[in-house]
Amino acid sequence: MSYKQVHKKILKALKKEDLRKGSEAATKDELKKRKYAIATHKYSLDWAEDVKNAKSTMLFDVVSSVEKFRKAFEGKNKYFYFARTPQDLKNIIAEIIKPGSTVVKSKSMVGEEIELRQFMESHGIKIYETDLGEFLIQLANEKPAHMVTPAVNMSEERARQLLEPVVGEKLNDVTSMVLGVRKFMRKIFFSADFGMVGANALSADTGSVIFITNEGNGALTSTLPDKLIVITSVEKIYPTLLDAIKAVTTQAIFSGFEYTTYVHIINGPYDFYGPKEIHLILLDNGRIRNDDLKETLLCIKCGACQFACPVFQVVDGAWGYIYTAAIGIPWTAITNSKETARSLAAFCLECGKCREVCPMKIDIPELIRKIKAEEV
Amino acid sequence: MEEKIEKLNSYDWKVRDLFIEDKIETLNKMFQNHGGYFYVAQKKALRDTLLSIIKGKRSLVYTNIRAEYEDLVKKLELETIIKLEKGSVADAKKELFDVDVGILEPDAIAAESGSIVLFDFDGTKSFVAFLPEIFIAVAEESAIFDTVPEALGNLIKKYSKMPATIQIVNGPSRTGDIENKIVRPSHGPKDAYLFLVK
Ligand code: SF4
Repeated sequence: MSYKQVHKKILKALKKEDLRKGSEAATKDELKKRKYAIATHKYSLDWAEDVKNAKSTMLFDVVSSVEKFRKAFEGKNKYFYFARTPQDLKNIIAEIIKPGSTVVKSKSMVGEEIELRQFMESHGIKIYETDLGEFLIQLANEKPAHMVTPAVNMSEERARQLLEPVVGEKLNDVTSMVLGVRKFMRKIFFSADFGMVGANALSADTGSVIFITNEGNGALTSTLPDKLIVITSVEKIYPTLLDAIKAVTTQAIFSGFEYTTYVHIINGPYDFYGPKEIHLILLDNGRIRNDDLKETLLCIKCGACQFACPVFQVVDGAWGYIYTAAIGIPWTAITNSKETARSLAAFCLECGKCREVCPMKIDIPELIRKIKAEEV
Repeated sequence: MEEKIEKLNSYDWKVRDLFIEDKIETLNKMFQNHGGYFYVAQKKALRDTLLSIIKGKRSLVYTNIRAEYEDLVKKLELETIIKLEKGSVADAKKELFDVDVGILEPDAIAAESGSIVLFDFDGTKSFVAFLPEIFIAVAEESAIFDTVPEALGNLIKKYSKMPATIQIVNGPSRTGDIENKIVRPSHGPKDAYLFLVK
């Protein structure tokens, strides 16, 4: 995106009064929740530090971290793939999933990053986003506004308009919308050929995949279909299972959830019920060879810096391309385009609020400054 | 594999500086915070409470419960009672598509986070915890640990092998994806009960 395109997108968002109000209210609420969660868990700051240290050791030499994880992960009916580019990942998917198959998918930022859903649809695969926010984004054909709550800016009315034709009944309030989607999705869960999940963390000692959800969509996605596909990226690898558990706990606390309803730790296919084979694809997409913005890879995608950002508070997901606001800018530079990142960086106020809230203490303003100053 | 377990056994799974004075009280508070129901029940009273929960329900599935509870569950008056063990996957899916109640005995409970911890080797525990509308976990007091990491450390030692999945369940499923309004259930159970049997 050019500077002009970003400018236009932001101006458009500024004119939407309801978006501004909704977004302001939502962010205030989110920040309060986060503060409370951190205060309640006295160990949260210590754990954040442990996570940062554990992650740093893995990021020091990403290539050998990948190798360690691969060795621990591979086994009977467990297949490991490394994808250097988004196209590599898509080719692997096209190999595994034949056109005409049905896939239930839970939320994955890596999937968003490379527009995987759009690719799979064009490949003739029926894909259903099973996270409610992500399902709404799929129906609206939009991009997520936030890493944790993708449809944070969507009004109830708009959600109703999108859901009623799919569910095929009148949906009077949020409760009936959620229950309508549950009923609609249930049949699909039970008959899908593949489940697809992202990972919040991977452990190099046990080769485990750890992911968290609230809705139970990840639970069904990873237990009902016969085949499971995990798509994730290289910076998610932690030295030990204990570090990985601390990482997902820290992510939940700093995103304000405190606890997610489910934490799934997947070690292998089941002896009996559940998936019989697991395919894991690890994406690089610019991460490994990125020395100048390497600090970005410490990010555990809790979304705290997005809510703390005064620009995000006003224009929401309009400021960004897939990865929005604050840390979204270096993420965009690494995984998508430096030019787009530079256009976005021009709108950063350099207030430093993002750095204050980040559990990994990433110097986000400095990363943005480097992008602005064309040092990367 | 053995090497792996040995390494896992050498970790310090305890959360430092965390001291939980009253585990049961903490568990009670936390599980209710998650939107679940927590009961401390005498063995004798368990049946009555179960009866009140399943009133009007049609079907029940259970797995991994000790013989004395199994007797109790089998005698509950319901149209269908399924013991989930190795069998046809297709049949199980058909039977569990709209099953009302699921009961199991969890491998551990973590007080600090109000968590139910399952070590699932064959998929049965996950099916019972995720698919029914009502999920009931019946635990003995000895299953309670301070935290999830502590529970995991102990279970790894106990089983000496890693299960296919470890599932940590904190209450019933929920979503806040539309305007931050919390709705239960989403795709998992609508109600989650945790019984501590004395
Ligand atoms: S940069 Fe920090 S605050 Fe922002 S999402 Fe990543 S970990 Fe969270």
